[in-house]
Amino acid sequence: MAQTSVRLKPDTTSFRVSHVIAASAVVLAGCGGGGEPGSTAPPPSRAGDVWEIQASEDRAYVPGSIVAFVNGVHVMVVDGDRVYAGMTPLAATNGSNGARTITFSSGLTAEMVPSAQGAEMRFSSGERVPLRTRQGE
Amino acid sequence: MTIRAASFALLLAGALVTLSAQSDGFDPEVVAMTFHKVSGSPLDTQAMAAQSQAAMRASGFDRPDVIAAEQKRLDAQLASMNPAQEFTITIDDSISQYDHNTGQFSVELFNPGTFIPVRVFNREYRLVFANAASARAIPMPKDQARDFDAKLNALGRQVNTEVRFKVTGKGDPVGSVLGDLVIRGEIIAARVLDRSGQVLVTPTIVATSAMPAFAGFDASKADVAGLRIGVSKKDMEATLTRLFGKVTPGYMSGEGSFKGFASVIEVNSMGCRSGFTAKKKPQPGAVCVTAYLDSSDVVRMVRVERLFPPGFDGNVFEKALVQKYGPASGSRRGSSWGPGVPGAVLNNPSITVDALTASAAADRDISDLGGNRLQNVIVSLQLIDANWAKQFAK
Repeated sequence: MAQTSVRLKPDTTSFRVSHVIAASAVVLAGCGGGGEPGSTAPPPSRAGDVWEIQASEDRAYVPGSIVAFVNGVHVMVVDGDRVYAGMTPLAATNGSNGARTITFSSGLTAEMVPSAQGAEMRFSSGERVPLRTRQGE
Repeated sequence: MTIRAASFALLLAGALVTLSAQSDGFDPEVVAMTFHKVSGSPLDTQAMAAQSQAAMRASGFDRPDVIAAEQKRLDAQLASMNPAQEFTITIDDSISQYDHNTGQFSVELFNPGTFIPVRVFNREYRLVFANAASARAIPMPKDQARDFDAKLNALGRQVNTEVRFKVTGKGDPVGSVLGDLVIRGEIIAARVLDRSGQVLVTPTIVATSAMPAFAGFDASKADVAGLRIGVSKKDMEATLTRLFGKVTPGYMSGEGSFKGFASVIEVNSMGCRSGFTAKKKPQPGAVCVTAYLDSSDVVRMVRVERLFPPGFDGNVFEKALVQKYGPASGSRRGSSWGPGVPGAVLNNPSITVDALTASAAADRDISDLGGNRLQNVIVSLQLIDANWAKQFAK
């Protein structure tokens, strides 16, 4: 029986990530404690700011909020060069124009870019979502 | 049907190659049924029977009997599938340009993210090969490669790739091809042919069992939305308090009544679901966390939920999960990742649950009954300490 088939172009992002996960596991095995990336540590009780994604009805931001939730940065503590996604510390590096880049163990990165309303989180996978600091903590 | 499939994929992917498979030991129905038999993925034979040509032709009076007979036939066919059956398919394919850094050509069909659509039972299955990586490269010294490249150019780089394979399970092991109907195959042999049927090259095939394991999901290092298991109650409380607010003792009931759990703490645990009695409808952005602890006050299970507005994109969710955890190992309730945990942990000894489960469901309340209002979506991530749970395997 004849049949025509199609194939999708390779999703290079996903493939690259699978290798990055393996590489990250090796690197992180040597880390631990004290809020180092790859370790487990609660966020500081007072230091830093709590940032959260804005609960927007704008559908354009729903994909970004999904990725943020899965990766634990839907609500996070940013304390200098350390970001606490739940109790998972992540490294953040400063970039140009006040932007910070957060790197996840999967290889995914998220750039926090300052905006008039607070900041926008832009994931390397393409999604984006607005952020704001929590007031009255 | 074929053209529609290609057009649809074109819209989605933006760039496609159209391939053709010849009739040589590849019956889509048999492949699909073998997939369901091997993977345990349910096949709704009743619905298939109802949509069959025989049912369509039958009168209203006879249709129930015809459907029942057709379903019986399909069930028997499904049961008779041989998991060891081998199939052969020939695909219109192409060979890449020579990579001077790695000294090899590559077979396009075996690149990650590539799949063969199998249209059958009014839906599309996607066939991927678990050991495709081993067949991808055609290594060749540069002096030989020049002549081979000229030969390929004369063919417009178009070739036929013949693959002999068997069906081994469900899902793309490298996580590039997503969906519930991804057929995982294992290549047994492959040949690259020119249009006249002459063998150009025979790729080296390595059995899946001999290939490096995918190093994706590790339950002991995993987190759900940043929250971990195996941590102290004190650390969990501190984290939840800082991020979400007041932590309260929880009440264990139903699934939480398992004797291995000694206590539970929670934040806003009932604030993510409308239910049918809720006085105040929860709003998108609401987060709820429940953590179960053992008698030593160590967190052994954590569930975190968040409410999303209508427009939730399940594909984005699935892709984000795969990117973070690797390919899912199960899909009984949403997506899940192993290792399996005895169901006793959830006070349900008859089942095995995976260490990590992820699901999304509409937040329905009584005002939704009979209406067509778009609903918010509750996304739930649950992680169980698999190592701790092993002791309950008995």
